[in-house]
Amino acid sequence: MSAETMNAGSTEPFPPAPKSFWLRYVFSTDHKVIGLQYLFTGLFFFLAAGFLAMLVRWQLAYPWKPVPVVGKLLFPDSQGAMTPEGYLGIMTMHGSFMLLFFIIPTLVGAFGNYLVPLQIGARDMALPRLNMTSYWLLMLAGLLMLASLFVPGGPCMCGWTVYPPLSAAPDAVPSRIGNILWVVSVFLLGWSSILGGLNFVVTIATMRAPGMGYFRMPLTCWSFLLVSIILILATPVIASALVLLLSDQAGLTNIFLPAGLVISDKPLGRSGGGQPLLFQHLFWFYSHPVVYLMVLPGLAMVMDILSVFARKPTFGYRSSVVSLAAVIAIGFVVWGHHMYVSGLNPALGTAFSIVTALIGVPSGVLVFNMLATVWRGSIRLTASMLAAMAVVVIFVTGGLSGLFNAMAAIDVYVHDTYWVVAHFHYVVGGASVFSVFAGLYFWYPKMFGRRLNEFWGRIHVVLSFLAFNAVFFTMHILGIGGHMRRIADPSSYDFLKPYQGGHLFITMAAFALGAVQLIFVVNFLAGLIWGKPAEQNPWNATTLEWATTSPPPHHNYDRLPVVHRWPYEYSPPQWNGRDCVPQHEASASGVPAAP
Amino acid sequence: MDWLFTLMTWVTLPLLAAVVIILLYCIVRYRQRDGHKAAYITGFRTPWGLTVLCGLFLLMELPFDFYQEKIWADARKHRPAKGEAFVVQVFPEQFAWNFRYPGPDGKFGTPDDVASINELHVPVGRPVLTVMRSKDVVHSFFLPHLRVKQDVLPGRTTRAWFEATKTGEFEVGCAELCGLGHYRMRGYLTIEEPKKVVAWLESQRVYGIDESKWGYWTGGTDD
Repeated sequence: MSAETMNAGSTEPFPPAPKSFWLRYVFSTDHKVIGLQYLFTGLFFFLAAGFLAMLVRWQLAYPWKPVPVVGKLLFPDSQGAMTPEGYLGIMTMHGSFMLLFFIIPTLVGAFGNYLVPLQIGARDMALPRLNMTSYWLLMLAGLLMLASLFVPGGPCMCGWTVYPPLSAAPDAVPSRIGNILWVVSVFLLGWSSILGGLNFVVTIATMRAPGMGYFRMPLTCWSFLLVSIILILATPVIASALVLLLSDQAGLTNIFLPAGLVISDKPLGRSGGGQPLLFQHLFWFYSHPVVYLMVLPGLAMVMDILSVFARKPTFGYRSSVVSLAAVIAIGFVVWGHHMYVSGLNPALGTAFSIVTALIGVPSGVLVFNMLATVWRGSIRLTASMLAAMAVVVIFVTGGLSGLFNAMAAIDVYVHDTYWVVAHFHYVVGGASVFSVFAGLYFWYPKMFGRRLNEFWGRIHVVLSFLAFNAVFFTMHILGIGGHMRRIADPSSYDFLKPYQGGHLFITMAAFALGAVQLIFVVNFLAGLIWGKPAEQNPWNATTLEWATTSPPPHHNYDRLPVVHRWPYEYSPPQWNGRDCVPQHEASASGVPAAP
Repeated sequence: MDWLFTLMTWVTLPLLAAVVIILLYCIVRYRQRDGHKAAYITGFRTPWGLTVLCGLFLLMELPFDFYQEKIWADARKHRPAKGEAFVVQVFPEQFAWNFRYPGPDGKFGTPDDVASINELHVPVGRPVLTVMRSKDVVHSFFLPHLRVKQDVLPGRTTRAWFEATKTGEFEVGCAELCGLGHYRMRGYLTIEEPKKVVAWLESQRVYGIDESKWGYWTGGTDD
């Protein structure tokens, strides 16, 4: 007999919340507390990474000019001007913070942990102590990454892709200790991901409330189940690759170091025999699927939010589930499209081009379903809805520019240029960040029991969207001009001189984008203290998390809900013109059962 | 490649515009107002809807796959024959481009070789084949004006080829992060008449081959 049938509709006692502060809020096993821990950790790194982006933008607009305000503090040896070491370290940390310590912990860690048990009608995750372990591994990883900012030689300067030999050969960059800390930190993060993914799968497989069939789960829940497959299958590959890299860094092996390396006229004196390309394969075998891990939960949340605020069932529910799964399945065999110019066999370029283009089909279905969901709806333009619509536009822009890079022939030119920078800031950056905004504006009342200011929320989303496009759409043009990425001073190339004006424009827009986030920070913090108390179901949504108080009690539900229908019963034709029917409401006699 | 890029732009920009217009239309036309109720539509009525949709997306993409393959094959699979091409060895290091030319005998590793640093001279109207290995970390040989890009790895030979149709002076860039000086790892490409290339090579002969550098070339003499 499974746990779910034992608990069916029961009020069976659940261990009460611990009394001590430490056990209740710090070393907690409550999925809601852990979710919020992930959220605050993620948002901290979001702000830190955003600040680093401002420094990068200053340098690109005004190369080697003293950085205003913080320059003297950060670069005392150069009278406040950026240094090449500073640029590479800051750029690497911006990418690592954003991808590894903001997007993954926030989208998967925070929303996944908070929502999965509530949406399937469970009291907690299946393995609460493992859940706590996941969070604290992440915290340890984050602290190590932060510590690497202060070690001699500076933080890792190899880009978040840490290609060897740059990252493995001593003295190729000054950040020898930083490189090692980066690898150890991401290895721990990988463990956090694997344990988290296992927990999602076990929870969804065993803890669903009575009546909650797989095809009655909201798409948000589906996405966490599906991306857990990535966490479980792809993360061990990067974790192993990082162990091998660490052993190369330590001088124990030469797995990625070939024979005869000569760093600044000094032979490395290692027997070599390794292959740098091997690391790129292992890295992208993880890192390509992981961009879907970063964006799919966001898209699924957006589909649910579009449905709520259009008061209309999500269009093609099952086709969306299959499309999410298809993106992930195909996503496992496209990693080579990051390596068209790396020295791969050209036949592989052809093959990877074709499978990459295939991803366009399920992605296209997802976008079509989103548009069809709002079509003929009754649209409420809340801050959350505006952010969700922004995600649709941003995802489509990034998806379409992705069709260019997918083709090996075009990628030869745009690879490692600002075209690619623009592309991934749309698909991974913008789509994920605006999904987080949409999700926070939507679930904040549930999480904190208070409302955010809607007016300032809308202002924040609209201004962010405009500034975001000003920054990153312009980068496409730099990319078409052949502008390489990761160069600290574009003015060192004559053919890039005409783009300096573009850099200046992007920097101004980026500062605006950064400044607008202050609205969000103030709104978020003020909401915690002065926000209007939130009722149980402020948006009239149908899913189970709205069937309990805001915020939910430690045991989530006083009586575990029983599920009677799918999660999208908005504006149903029966039910006497009712606006929506929640999942847990029993059907009155005479009303036909919905899907 | 450029025409494929332009074609793609004209296909994708209208798609993006369509999505934005549909959303704006929905926001205005289907906004919340009294007496307006959302339609209850759960999906296509028949499985054909989804099939047609997927088919449409596939049909839109497949022609591009074929077009791009032709260009890709030209760039990477159909390399010029050895006798036909002007061959240069490229041996980058942090943060400079080292080039070596075979000299009049057409063979590398012989005393008549010529080497240069950051200056690449090639003839117009003849295929140029670069045979590349890195001395230290991964670099990427980038000729933006010729649409050429190929990573250069230590311990493995990669090749790129192009045939210039115009003379002129252009820049060589590094497109793969290679360390602190990555941003200034710039070279110069001069495309000129074959006779001028020969004359320039002769003028460079006085500098000799720096064995402390080229001694580390592990690609064999024939490469």
